[in-house]
Amino acid sequence: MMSDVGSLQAFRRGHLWLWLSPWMLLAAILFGTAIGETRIPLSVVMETIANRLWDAGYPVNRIDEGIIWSYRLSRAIVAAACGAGLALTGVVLQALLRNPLADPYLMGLSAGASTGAVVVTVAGLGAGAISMSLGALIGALVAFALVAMLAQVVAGRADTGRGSQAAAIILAGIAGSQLFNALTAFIIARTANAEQARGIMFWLMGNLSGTRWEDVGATVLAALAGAAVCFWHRRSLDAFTFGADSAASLGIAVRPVRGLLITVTAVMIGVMVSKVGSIGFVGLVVPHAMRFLVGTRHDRLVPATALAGAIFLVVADVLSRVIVPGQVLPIGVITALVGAPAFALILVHGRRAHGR
Amino acid sequence: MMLAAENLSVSVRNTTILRDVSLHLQPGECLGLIGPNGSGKSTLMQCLAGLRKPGKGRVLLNGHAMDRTSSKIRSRQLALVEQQAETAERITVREAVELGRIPFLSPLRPWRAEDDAKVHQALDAVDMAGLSDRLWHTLSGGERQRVHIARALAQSPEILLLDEPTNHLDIRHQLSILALVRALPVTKVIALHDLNQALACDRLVLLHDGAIVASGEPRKVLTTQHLREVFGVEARYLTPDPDEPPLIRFSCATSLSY
Repeated sequence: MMSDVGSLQAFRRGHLWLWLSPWMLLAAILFGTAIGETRIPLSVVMETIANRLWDAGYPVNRIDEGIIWSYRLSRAIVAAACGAGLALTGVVLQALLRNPLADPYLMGLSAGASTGAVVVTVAGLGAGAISMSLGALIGALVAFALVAMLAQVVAGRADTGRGSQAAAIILAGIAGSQLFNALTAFIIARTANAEQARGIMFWLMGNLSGTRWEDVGATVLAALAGAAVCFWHRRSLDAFTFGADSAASLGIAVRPVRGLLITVTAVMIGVMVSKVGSIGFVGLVVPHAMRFLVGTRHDRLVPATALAGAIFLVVADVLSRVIVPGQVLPIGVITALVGAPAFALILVHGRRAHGR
Repeated sequence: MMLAAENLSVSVRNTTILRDVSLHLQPGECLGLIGPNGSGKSTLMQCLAGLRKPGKGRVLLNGHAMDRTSSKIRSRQLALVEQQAETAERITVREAVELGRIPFLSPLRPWRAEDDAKVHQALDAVDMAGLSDRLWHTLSGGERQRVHIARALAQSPEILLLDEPTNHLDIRHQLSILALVRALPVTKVIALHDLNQALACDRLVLLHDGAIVASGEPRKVLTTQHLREVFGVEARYLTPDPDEPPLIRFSCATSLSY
């Protein structure tokens, strides 16, 4: 039972987070730019940014400036955008499917997007007419349709308890992931040479090391547009709390709204996967952490999750660069190290909540 | 006439679920929908709520065709309490009731003091104001149903649709929910299983195999003949206390032999 004082504290905590997190994001990006194989003082980072943005004319070492501007800053911004986007897809999927375990990675959407991206780049489908991002978007949509359909069949066959519904999504997601990963491997084996294959494999595990300023535009745009659409539909997301029928009787045009939100999710996944590969568990961990912090209402959950996702991935990226000296781990390894235990926790907690 | 169904027919894969159902709701009344399992009560309820489009016929809400009414406008006139709607979210009672204000909000129309007032009123009406900070998963079945009714009331509807709201509740909660619903100052359509409870409605509609068999005053609908033909039971009216409404006593029909 929650007392008045408890909920008031939660409210204050939530507000505090919403005020603090933009500053924390800024700090994370600056630290992400300063920390790396060669450590660069924060003052130099600031001076470089000032030089580039306002022609401030600080004397900065050219190599440092190159590392900061062309390599680390763009990378940190892409990480922030991808973190925000991936975390938001988790919020949307969890709300629409009413399933605490819904996540683009676990549901195989990222795998589908990878297949789509590989089909376009390696197999050369579309003859340059469609971009890698569009291929990934289509892949994510196909995967969603497939997994959602399969999950519905599985849940329909089994008894329709809420626990089995949550499990059905995961089982269908495993089937989907395996299928799309196999397809991806097949396409790579058939068409890519050894050099290409190595590069693709590294990218598939989630990798930010190739990111440059060219990638900043698409990822930031996708994250901002996605956040805007989710925030615009915050009440619709709330309305799904007790299911689609209940949302409909609360005046939500269920089909169009659901279609729009799923499409936006697929766009975000498509863009993020085509730029940085499939990074897992962000959509699972961040929204759940934020529900504890700011509550379940989407007017606060959406901005809080976007910001926290951004911070999470920037920090994860820093960790991936410093945790093993002299070596860069794929960022997916770090997110999975945090995410897998969190996943287990949600699983156990959910079982307890339903097993009364 | 505020809510009316005109010649509704619904079929799913060659099975007819509703055939040629017409009914007109009178302002202020409490209309009971009764019938055995599979008689089409829930489907009719969904059509009336605008959640399902009938294959033939139409539903009119305040004179306008339901399928041409925007879902937003509909949701300000009509609220639905489902049999059992659940959530896994850590949501408080007040937050659940606040969902009922969604029809009046828009991306640009923020939450206002009047919304708070409506939520308070709704919580008071179902006697849950004292539990407004409790989390959903700590509530009993009866309390959850009260919250659902409060959420529907927060929509400030003219018409409340309730689909077997007392299912899965123990007898004490069944009676208290029904007493609560009966006292609400709105027009109500309520699907019910318990025929003794149905006697307390103003008017009843009896469904059998998707068609209306009888409608009107409860005593005229729940005749021993209808009970035998539709439900397959023998029934007798008992009046143990002349000041109280009668009771129906059921026994197995002779045709159901073991």
